[in-house]
Amino acid sequence: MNTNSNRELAIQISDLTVAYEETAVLWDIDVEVPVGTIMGIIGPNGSGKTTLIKSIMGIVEPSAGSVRVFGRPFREQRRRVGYVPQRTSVDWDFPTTVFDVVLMGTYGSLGWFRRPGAAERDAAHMALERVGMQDYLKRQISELSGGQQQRCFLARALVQEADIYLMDEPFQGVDARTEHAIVEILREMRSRGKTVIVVHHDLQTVERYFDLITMLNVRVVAQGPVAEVFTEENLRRTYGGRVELGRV
Amino acid sequence: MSLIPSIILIAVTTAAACAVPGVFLVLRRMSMVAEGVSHAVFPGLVLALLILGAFRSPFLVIGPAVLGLFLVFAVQAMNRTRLFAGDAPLGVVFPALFSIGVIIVSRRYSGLPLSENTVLAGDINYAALTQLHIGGTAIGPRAFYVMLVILLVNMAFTLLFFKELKLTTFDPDHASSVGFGTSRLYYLFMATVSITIVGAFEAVGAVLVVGLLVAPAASAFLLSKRLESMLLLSVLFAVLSALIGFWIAYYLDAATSGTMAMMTGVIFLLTLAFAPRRGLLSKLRIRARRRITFAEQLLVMHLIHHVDGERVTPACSRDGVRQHVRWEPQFAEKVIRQGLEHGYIAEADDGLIPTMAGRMLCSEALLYKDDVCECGIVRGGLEKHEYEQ
Repeated sequence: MNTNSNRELAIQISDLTVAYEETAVLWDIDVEVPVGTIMGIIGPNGSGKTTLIKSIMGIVEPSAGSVRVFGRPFREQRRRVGYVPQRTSVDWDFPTTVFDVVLMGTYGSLGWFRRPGAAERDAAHMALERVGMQDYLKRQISELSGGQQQRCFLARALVQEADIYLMDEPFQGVDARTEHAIVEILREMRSRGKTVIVVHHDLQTVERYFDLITMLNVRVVAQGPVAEVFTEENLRRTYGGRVELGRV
Repeated sequence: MSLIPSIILIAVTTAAACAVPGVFLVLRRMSMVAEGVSHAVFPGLVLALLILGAFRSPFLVIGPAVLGLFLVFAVQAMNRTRLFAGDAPLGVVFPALFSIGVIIVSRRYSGLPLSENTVLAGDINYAALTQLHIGGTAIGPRAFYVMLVILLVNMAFTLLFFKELKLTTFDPDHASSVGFGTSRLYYLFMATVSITIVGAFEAVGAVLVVGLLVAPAASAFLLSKRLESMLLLSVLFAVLSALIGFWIAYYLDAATSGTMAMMTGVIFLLTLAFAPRRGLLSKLRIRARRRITFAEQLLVMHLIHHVDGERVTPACSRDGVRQHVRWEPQFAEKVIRQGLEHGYIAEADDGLIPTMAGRMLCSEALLYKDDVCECGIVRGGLEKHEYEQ
């Protein structure tokens, strides 16, 4: 867990403000994520976690400030960023198979009009194997459990072979086996020099899963190595005194 | 070309042309936007007719289609203000546009070949009368060729952008994160929807066109595992509705557009009832099966509890089971019969006993909840199994 500050930055967010009309959802955010780390983002509902992730990718337009990905605007670095949206953000009754969803991860590098070929299909097979879903590839996605849906989404992101992965609540409503598999993959990614940012909900697992943490409530309340920043005091400031860590 | 084949050609191409974009309307939950577009194009059609004189020019399709797109823009813009929840903007904009058309048409001396009736339900027979001529010979109804071109455009659009349409429909956030601008494709798609609606207007009118767009796609949705099959089934259902609808109209001497739209509804009801996995009947069957399986588990559990413990004879007899598990006698009899049939329980001298398979069934039910319990049952089961032999 080497997080010294002179390492290359995967993501640098400066003075970012996002507002809907005149209501700020994110206010003056500065976040730096060094290469090869796993960062968690925590905060109460409506604290802007998802908005922060979406504004990194330009899905949400900022009112002020800037986001740099490996020192350049996101638009120029699209290929290097993989996104795992919240599982519940899509309609799982959509008529498609697990394999098809994973194959969608290759669409970005294919660009407009080109169809996936043998190389893309191979990549999809490999990604499915990495998340332990190779037996489900012909399954319709409506027949998956929550954990299987999440692993399917993860495989779609793995296919992109990105350098940065942004994940929105990947542990939400998944079984223990899936949670374990995801954590293993995150660590493996880190060991290969990838950078992972995870919007997270479960405070009990923060210390085990993350190197760095950003505690968010419209503003950045605290940010840094988990060991230094993840304190009762900061939690109270983030969640407004309604939280108990329950650490033994 | 004579009237009947003309009508059939128009009916089939119109239905098929609507069925293709209908798939994406249903998947994007935009059926009501289609309803809005079908009404919004009307004043455009009326104005184009006033200016151009008759159903002849290609501008008759493009002019009104622009109004359809205007509706989509206007509704999006109003949604962005966040002043209204849900589809109120749609409800405000489309009747307003539609009313302009109604006012123009209803003026007594407008001199338009349209009545308020045809506006709503179309007039396929009238459309079939307008034949296209090449060098003096009639080569078929003009509306057929219009719809054929629109069908081909829709198919080409879907094939060309298949990957992009799939991605942006399934997961728009992911799509834009990998660089597929969703709004450009969205407006292009809505343009094809508008053109389709305008083309179909003459034959089926503003209300029934919505049925052709939505119902075949909704039926196909209930049966499809993949987007490709949903598209094919949607077109198939549309063509079937057109053919059967025409046949019914012919025998009843009724309006073809009405019977066509009715058939799309009938096919939808049939798929809703009988679709193998998503249909209502199969859902009921699955629920009934689960209820029996759960009852069997409960029964085996009860037997395990007593076979391994005391009071074996009274508790494990058929009467004992009935008393303990509090089932209606008929249901208890059914569960016992099924349990014997499936081999979960067996008949012994002093009543019913659980079998190995029964113990496995119970351990499956408990697997996720309590490891200790699972071990106990499986272990106990082995002993019992040996004892049985």
